[in-house]
Amino acid sequence: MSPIDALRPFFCLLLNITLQIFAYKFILKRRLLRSEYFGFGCALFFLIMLELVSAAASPGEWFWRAFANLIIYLCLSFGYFTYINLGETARRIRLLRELYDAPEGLTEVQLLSRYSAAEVIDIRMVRLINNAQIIQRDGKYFVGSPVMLSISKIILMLKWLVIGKKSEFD
Amino acid sequence: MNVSLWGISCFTFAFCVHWAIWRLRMPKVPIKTLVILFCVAGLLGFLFLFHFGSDTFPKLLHFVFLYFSMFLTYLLIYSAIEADSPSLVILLRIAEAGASGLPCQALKDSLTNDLLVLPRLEDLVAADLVDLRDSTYAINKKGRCFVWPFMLYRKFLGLGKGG
Repeated sequence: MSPIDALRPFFCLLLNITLQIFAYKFILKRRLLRSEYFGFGCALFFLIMLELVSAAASPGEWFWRAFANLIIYLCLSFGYFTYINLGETARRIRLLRELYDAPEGLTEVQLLSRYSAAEVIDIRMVRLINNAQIIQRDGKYFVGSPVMLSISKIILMLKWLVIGKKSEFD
Repeated sequence: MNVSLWGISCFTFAFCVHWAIWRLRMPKVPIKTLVILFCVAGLLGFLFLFHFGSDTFPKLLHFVFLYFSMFLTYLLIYSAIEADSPSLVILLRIAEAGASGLPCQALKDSLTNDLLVLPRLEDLVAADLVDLRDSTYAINKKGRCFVWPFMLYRKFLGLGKGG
């Protein structure tokens, strides 16, 4: 095994980033989530091909090296995916951006006039309705897709398992 | 020694210790404790491999990459489950309302700044990314360095402020 073999997942992450940005700008008409899937999928395919080609050169240790490289690539890609989505959805990043734009600082009232709970809810309602995760009918909201609700319940269970409570306010 | 299995074993061990500590008593600074715990476990795993294994430098490097990439992933997942996601809260509240549905206004009335925005602002002050002086919040140097990569990326792609 050479150091280059261990660095393969990092090369593939770079490929993932390059392809994601290229796809977002030039192929997928500025659809962020799809560009993320595109970059991830192409680089994953490239990594699998690299591992299969190198299997012929060193068949003895191939399986575990490929297995580890695959896990490393999945973890690094998850990190990149989170980095993009933090910029898109994280409230802390948005608050920091508002404060970045006001070097003299902002009072709580000023800050809430720029970014409030109402905006947080509005952005998410639009996202949830567009993805058919919830339905709006007669001024009321209903669950649209049981898939997202199941994911939410899994996250809730994870919260309880790891931190011992279902909400940060419990 | 199989460095892949060793990396996964070390990570599993660190996770079990973390889980046991968290269930016994939640640390006051969870993220910092988590980082210290996993780094110590990773270092011990590396030293064991270095002394008792007959592995080459690339294999040791592979262990480090595998262990710390798994830790990075867990750290990100932990940060996500630590704070309540507004989308998750919205979905669960709508689900609780059941077949009768949840009125739009009731949802907005129940999710206030005290629940959605101000705790995150307090997090930023606690993390020393924002200074609070005379009722004024101001971003400091650390906060600027932290948010800059996000701003640069979004500016490059022509994306809005997000949130």
